[in-house]
This record gives sequence, structure tokens and C-alpha cells, in this order.
Amino acid sequence: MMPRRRRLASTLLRIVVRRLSGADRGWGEAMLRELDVVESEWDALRWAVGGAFVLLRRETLTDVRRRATGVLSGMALAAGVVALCLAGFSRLLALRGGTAFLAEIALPVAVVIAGAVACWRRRRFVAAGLLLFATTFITHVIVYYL
Amino acid sequence: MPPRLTRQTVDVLELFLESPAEWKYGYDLSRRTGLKSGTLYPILMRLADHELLEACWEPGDTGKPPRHMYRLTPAGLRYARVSTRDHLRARAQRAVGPATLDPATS
Repeated sequence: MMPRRRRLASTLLRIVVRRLSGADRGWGEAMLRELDVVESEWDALRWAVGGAFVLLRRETLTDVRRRATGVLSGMALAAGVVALCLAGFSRLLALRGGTAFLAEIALPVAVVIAGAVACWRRRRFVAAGLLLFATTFITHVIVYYL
Repeated sequence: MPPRLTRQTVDVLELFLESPAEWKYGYDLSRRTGLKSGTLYPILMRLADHELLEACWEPGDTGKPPRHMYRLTPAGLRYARVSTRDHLRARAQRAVGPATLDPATS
């Protein structure tokens, strides 16, 4: 029968590995296999605790990085749409007054919000980036131009 | 960008350089370098992320559960040779002291 400390170590690592995905799961499985050859019971527990900590930290960092990349790319996309509308309509078409406002402010905001709604289900963090930029842009317009 | 080179990373690289063609197990690396799993695995992961280390599962024909094995890739070997040499040189310089190495002051 497996001693108590070794069983605890194995359970701990198994719980962590089960919630991992992709390559990180492979690393977790590797640590779990090594647990069978760790000689002392205390060493096995220390091995499992250290491994679990590494795996959880890596998973968290990967998750944060993925979310930040999504939000930033959404914001960059929105900035591109707004810049295109501002540069295109005011310079090429030389619009004035209400038409200019619609073309340079309302149109890009509508496009960005529509984009956010469209990709909300599949790319939530990109959508969040789009909405964040739209909100900032609208606030900027209200504060400085209205 | 190459991975951050710590003393522990150099210890791991030196161990891989002892027999570059041989696959090594995680626990054996841990025992021989004295590194705990919480220190060893981030090093292995970083090296693998930079494609300096290759990993594979042991063939499961021994009747025991397969284990993960590691060895340096050709790029990893080059990196290990250069970085351990640089590390040794820097350590020697620190041991001798900057004043001794500076011809203007000697």
C-alpha cells in the first residue's frame, strides 16, 4: 500500500495536472511519473508541492498573457478603424459639420461596437479591447468636443 | 532571445554537456544538481520553449510507467557550450578581481 505522504503528493499533483491543458499538461504528467522514483516520502511530498507551484504559476501567467494580448489586439484594431475613418473622411471627402461628425465619430464607433458584438462569443478579450477603446474614444469626444 | 542565464541554469547545462547524446530523467537531474522540482522544471521549460531542449517519453516496453526524458538539441548544445564558457570566465574574473586584470593598474 502507498504510504500516506506519497499518496498525498500524488493526489496533489494529479489534481493540478487535471486542470492543465496542452503542453503544460505534458510537463505535469512528467513530474507525476518522476514521483514514482523519488526515494523518500518527504522528498516525494516536496517534489509534488514544488511541481504543483510551478505548474500553477505557469498556467496563470499564460492565461494572463493570453487575455492581455486579446485586449490589446482589440484596442489596436479599434484604433485602426477610428484612424482610418478620421484620416479617410476628413481628408479625402473634405466633409464638414454634422456629416463629418457622423462619418468620423459615429461611424467608427458603430463599426467597433458591431465588431465587439460579433466576436463576443468566440474572442471575448478582443471584444473587450474593442469596447474599451470605443468607450475611451466616446469619453474623449464628449469631454473635448461637445 | 536566449533564456535568462542563472547559476542554476548553468549547473543544468553543464550536466547535459557531460554526455550530450544521452537522455536524462528529471529526478536524476534534480539529484545531481541539487535543485528542487520548483527550480529545475522552470529551467527545463524555458530551455524547451526556446527549442534548446528536446523531451520525449521513454518507450513503454520495460513494464514500468514511461518517464519523460530530456537532452539538448544541436542549438541547445551550442548555447550550453558558449554560456557555460562565458559563465566560467566571468566567475574567474570575479575571483581574480578587476584590479589584477586591468593592465593600467598593475
